[in-house]
Amino acid sequence: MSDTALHLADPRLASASYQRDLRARIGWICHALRIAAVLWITWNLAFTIFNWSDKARLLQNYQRLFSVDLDVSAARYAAAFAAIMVSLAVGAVVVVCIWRLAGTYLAGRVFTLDAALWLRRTGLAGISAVIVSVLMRIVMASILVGQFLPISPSYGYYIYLLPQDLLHAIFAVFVFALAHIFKAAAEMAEDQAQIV
Amino acid sequence: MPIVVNLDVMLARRKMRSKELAEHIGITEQNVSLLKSGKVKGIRFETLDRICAALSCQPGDILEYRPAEAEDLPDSARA
Repeated sequence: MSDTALHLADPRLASASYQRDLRARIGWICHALRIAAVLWITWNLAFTIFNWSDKARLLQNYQRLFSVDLDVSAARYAAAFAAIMVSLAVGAVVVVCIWRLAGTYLAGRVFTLDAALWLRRTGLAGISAVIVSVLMRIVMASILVGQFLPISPSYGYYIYLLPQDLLHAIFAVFVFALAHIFKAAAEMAEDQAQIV
Repeated sequence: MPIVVNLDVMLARRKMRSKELAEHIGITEQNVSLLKSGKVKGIRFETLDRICAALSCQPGDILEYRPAEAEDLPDSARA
């Protein structure tokens, strides 16, 4: 019996075959997503460590930004660095979620409840990452300057909340909403599998 | 569920085994077993058509409606 005939003969088999085809189509995207996610967090970490390794240069940048003289103790500098690391840690959670989500797709589980759950976690981690990123910018600047929510004479509060933050939040919320749609699709697929 | 699948009865009448029927209608033996035991949510007309052709019978010979017992019915239906 040809593959097409099998498709017609057994809907459950057709469904499995369809998922195999889908996996072949999205396989390279899943691999690319995984690589991009790991690259992003590695790049981000390396860039942060590089920036923060030169205290004098970093403080000079902040002095220019806030038009103040900064005399930051080692403890305060470490605390500000820790704030940035918290933001990166939440970013790492997003990477783990993307990795696991792509993993379920690569394993051929596309319209399944666990894939929908990982999509939901990815969305939630993304929303958290945006919020934590903005908060940690405020915390870091407050620690370095020595006052809560210091305002930049040149940029105002614009340095804390950027237009791309809203874009990232929109994408994260969209992923979260998509997870609900996928959950409904997974439940329908489960129902469909019980029809012979 | 008041719909009962009498596929096992028809298979016995036609002296056909589940495996044989599965091969005839092109679904897995596991699906035939699920169908026989009534552990499915539905049956496609396409599958029903093939089963009827293979067993030379009518859909009514395979599917039967058995109304629920009185105690299973809601109060409004019993009155």
